[in-house]
Amino acid sequence: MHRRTLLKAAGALGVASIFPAPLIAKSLKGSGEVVIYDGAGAWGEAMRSAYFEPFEAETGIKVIVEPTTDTGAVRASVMTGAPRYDIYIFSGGYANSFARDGLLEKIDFSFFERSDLDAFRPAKPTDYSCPTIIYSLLMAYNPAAFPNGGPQTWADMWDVSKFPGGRALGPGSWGGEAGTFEIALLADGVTPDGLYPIDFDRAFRSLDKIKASIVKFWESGAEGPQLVVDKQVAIAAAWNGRVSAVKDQGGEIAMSWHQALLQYDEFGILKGASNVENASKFIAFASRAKNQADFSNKILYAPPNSNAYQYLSKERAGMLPTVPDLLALQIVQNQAYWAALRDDGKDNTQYAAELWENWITR
Amino acid sequence: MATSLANGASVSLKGVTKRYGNFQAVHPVELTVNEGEFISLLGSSGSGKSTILMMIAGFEAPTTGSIYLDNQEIVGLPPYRRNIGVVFQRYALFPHLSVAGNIAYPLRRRSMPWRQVEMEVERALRLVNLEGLGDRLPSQLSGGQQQRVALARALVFRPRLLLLDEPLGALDRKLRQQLQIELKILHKEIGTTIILVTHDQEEALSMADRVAVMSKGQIEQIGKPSELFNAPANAFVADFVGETNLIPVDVVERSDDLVKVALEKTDKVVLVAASQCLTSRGSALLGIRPEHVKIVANEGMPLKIVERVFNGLTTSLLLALGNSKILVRAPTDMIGGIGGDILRVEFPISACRLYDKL
Amino acid sequence: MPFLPRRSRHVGTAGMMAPVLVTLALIYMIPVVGLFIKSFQDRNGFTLDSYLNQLTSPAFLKLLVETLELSVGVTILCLLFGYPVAYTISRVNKRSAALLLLLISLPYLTSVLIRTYAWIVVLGPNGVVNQFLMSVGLTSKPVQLVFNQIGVYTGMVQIHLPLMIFPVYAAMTKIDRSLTAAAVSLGSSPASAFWHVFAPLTYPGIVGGSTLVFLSCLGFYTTPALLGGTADYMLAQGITLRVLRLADLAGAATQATILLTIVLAVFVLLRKRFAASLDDEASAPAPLKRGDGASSEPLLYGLQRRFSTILYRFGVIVSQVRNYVLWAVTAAVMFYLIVPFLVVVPLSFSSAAYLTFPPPGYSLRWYESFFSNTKWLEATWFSLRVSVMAAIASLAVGLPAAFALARRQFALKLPAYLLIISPMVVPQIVIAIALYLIVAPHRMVGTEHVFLLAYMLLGIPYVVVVAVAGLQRFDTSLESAAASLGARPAVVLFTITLPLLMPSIVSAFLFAFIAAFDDVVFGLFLSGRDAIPLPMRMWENIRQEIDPQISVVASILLFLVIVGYLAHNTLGRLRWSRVNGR
Repeated sequence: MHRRTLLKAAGALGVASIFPAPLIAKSLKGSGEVVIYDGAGAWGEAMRSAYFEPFEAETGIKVIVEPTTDTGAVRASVMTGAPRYDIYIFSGGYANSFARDGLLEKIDFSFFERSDLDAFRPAKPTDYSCPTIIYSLLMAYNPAAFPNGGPQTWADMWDVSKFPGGRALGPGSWGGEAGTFEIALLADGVTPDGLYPIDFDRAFRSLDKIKASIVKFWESGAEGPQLVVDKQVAIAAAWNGRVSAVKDQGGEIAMSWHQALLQYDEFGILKGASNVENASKFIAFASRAKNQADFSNKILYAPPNSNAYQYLSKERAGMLPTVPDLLALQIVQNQAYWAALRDDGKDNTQYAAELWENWITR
Repeated sequence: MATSLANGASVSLKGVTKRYGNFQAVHPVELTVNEGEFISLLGSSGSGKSTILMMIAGFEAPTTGSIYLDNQEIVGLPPYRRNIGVVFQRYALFPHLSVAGNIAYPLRRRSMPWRQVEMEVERALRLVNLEGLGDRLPSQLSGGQQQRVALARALVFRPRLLLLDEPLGALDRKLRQQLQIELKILHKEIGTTIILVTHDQEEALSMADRVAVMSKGQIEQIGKPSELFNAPANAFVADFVGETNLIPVDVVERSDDLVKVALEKTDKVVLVAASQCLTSRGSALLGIRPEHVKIVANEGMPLKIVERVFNGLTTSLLLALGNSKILVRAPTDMIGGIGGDILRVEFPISACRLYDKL
Repeated sequence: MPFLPRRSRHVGTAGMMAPVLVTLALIYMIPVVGLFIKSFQDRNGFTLDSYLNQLTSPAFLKLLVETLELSVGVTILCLLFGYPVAYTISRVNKRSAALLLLLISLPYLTSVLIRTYAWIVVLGPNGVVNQFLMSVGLTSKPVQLVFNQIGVYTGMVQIHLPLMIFPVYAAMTKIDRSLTAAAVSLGSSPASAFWHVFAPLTYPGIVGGSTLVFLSCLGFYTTPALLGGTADYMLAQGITLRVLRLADLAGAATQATILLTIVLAVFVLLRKRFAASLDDEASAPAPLKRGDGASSEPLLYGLQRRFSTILYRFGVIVSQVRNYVLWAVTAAVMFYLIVPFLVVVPLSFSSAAYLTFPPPGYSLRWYESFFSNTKWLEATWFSLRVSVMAAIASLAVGLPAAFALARRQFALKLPAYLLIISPMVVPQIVIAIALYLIVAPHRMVGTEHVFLLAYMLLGIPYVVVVAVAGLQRFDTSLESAAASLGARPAVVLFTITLPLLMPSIVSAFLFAFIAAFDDVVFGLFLSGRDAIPLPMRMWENIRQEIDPQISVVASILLFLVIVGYLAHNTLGRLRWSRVNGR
């Protein structure tokens, strides 16, 4: 069932698989620079060693890192005609809404190796975007709180009598990005293939059932695992990378991959960027299997190029969410759904945010 | 400074007025202060006396008129160029500077060499009997000491004119009297022209060479203290300077040297010397000071004693006269023993003065 | 200056207001008005739809009310706790006062994130507070103290207390203590002297402090978001969401406009109070004169003196008792202010790669990584430099305006004041995007200059509110006295006015500096490869992973302040002894 779900979900992304990529990719050699965002911290560090430095060495194109910012600021920069970056990394399906609003340049896939392009899964490149990391929104919990075995499914998270303790979820005002609506529906018994379009009424009814046990809707990705480690809550929705890192460091935290939501970030070239060609070259470079493997060796984000697993140790691969064993347990989020416009001209994220504000102030 | 006599400046105000919006704070004022003179502006609050002081100091500009310092027009000259010493009502000592720092302040502004500043500060402290307190902060001093610092600060740069704005108002009675004497001695020593603003008639009369009595933005009378006391120009001055019984009267008859008046609503008649009559109207005020009312054994007017107040050396009696009351004051040993509730009094002709009604 | 002829004063007033108004026009009014106009537009032209939508949205109205409620609540608590502390500080000697004020400003050194984390540790189920409550038997199982209103108020009051204490303290330093003594000698009890003489004189400080706290609360959403529970959602949070995620600029502008309108309306309704506090000369009560009124009645005077001696003795006893209470309150508040450091400093020496308290082991790894990383060092230096410059620039344009507002009469004074403080009301994210849309086409993003301007916008309202409060009750006769002693206006300003205004200027500088030094929002929009402020680095860092790195930054700042204080003290002592020795 999970495998079927996965395939369906991938299909739902509606990704064309025919790109004008020649069998032999064009050379990436060039000059000038490419301005990019690196996500800072450990992520930025991994980007630097796996992508930036080798890219500069191979192509002669200089990588300029501009500081991190939010999509709102990026959107504003494109609208003023002075985009902050050539390449931005989009989360939560925002690449779709940027593309929809004409704020992205097309990626030139002729710089890509055919083999790399075909190996993207479960998320595929589109004309305007190319997945760069895959991660999983899963259930993290305090193992000490559940000596007889921890919760496995989202329904378990909702079962406060069997698994007592506080709960933490992401904010629904983020739309799909924190996965709250999907989680609420899955907990309520919706099957993965019935998730989209989201039944908001049902999601809120489901959330009503657990609201009293929710200590907090977290405001940053690091907060979920932190709440578990600090024993402020027993179970939290959290992203796998941070949970694994804390666990590696001896933090008292466990996780369940069942029904975890697979999400991904995408590269996109901002409209009006000064270095469009160099940007395509960089994205092609960062899509190579070997480079993605180097990257995933540095940080626990999974490579969207499945060929990268050829270069990863079994042990390392086992910690990454797209390794086949784990992939089968999970559900790929339909990020395009969250960027899709509704009849009233709002997209689903905006719509969800309004409903959410109504719900939490009720 | 105590030794080198800076002879005082002359000040004259010509047609000076001050108007705030619709409010005429000062009506045209003419005032001349002679070199080295100690003059006092006496009046209740709102009489315009402080406004005049502020205009001389340069903190307010006159609406019209001219102010001359040593025959030089100073209107338009900013205060810091006027070289006039000012002692403010609440001293305005700089709280963040020591006593010495306060006194040195005007000297520093005049770029005096550092050593000389120190010497001058020492001398100023000596002058006001505050030797050794230079390092204190103003807040560590008593009220009287603060007042002396303010004085030293205002004098240290040897201004030829010193303005004092109610300088003793915040002190208690005893200290005030002591400082009044000190100030007067100081004035003799340094010879600076002084203009003192006060609402305290005792202070004005005891210290100043001349006193200008002010009311409602006008000078009512200007003269030596004895002139003001003995020959008030009008009922206001008579009342404000020392106490005066002001009794409403009707003029019955005028002759070359005498005016005959009848106490209002009584048939009692009093004679006033024509030279003491300052009114031409039929209805007037008879002024007589409480000390001047003569107590007689027989004849005179029998008046009912309403109240007795013992003041120590003197005793005051309040007597009913028609609808009003008059105050009589006499040495206690003279009237202390008087019993009963009727006192016979006379108004000696030499003590009576006739004014326009207020 | 008060002694200039009237006519030239008006020229001066314009000159004093011009720098602040020009600065605000360029970096605030033009951009924000441009954005606000958008909130009235849709594809078909002018529309009020956006407003109708918001005003009929129950969620928005509820958020608005809750935001105002929280802001009022925090303001009241800050006044209750801050007033006694300010009072205590105003009574101790200068050296102790400086130390106490320093302690009070310490919470500002920690970024909001690490500070709130410290509160989570302290208030959590295994935290000190719960352990204490359980050990004394007040409760058998941990009480929920965080992720609810208790947590929100604890965090909000702590961060806003300095904004109340500094202006109130500045007002208190200007009160002549002999006034209360005088009132006591005139027969009022110390308590009544306090309430009828002392407290009213601190009114400008209370107004100033409350204004700052209230306005700052309106836009402050990170602390409620982090320490609050599921229902603690602030209006500014929703507005930020609209700008940063939902790309709903019109919605954000609409909500900000409504918030601004309501807050300004409150100020206008209370304008008499503000007009009074802006117009000191007219409202200052006649100074009490000792002995006045008593001297005219010898008998009464004697009686009063005898009575007042008794009353005064009684007052002294009462005030002794009150002293203990006062000191207890002060000590408790001080402890409350610095308690996060008891978590933050040990945390910075943690050997763990994630935040956990108490740390499983101690090491210097996070210090090493801080000092070996040029990004952190550069960002720290950039933030320090630009924040200091911005604070100075804010003082430079804000102080003249404060003088004009506090001392001059001119038309549109209240509107000018409201305009100057309004940047504190408009959620910063709205100003940031509006400013960004203006400066980005001119390639000014990522420059030091644009940060300087933006930070000035943060600093100016603090400077003006604090300085206007400081100028209340300023005894202008001191300036007249200086003028009569031969000081020209500029000399009066530098030798008398500014030195006496120093407590206010220092706190204004501190607030302006902190506002800039703590800023993330402008950083999000305006930073560039060569201009990255420290909070941006921290924000980048904590986005994905919260590690002890940020507690290192806070600890280093704490260390620098302590070293600075000790150095200043030692130097001060040296200078002192030199002066006395000569």
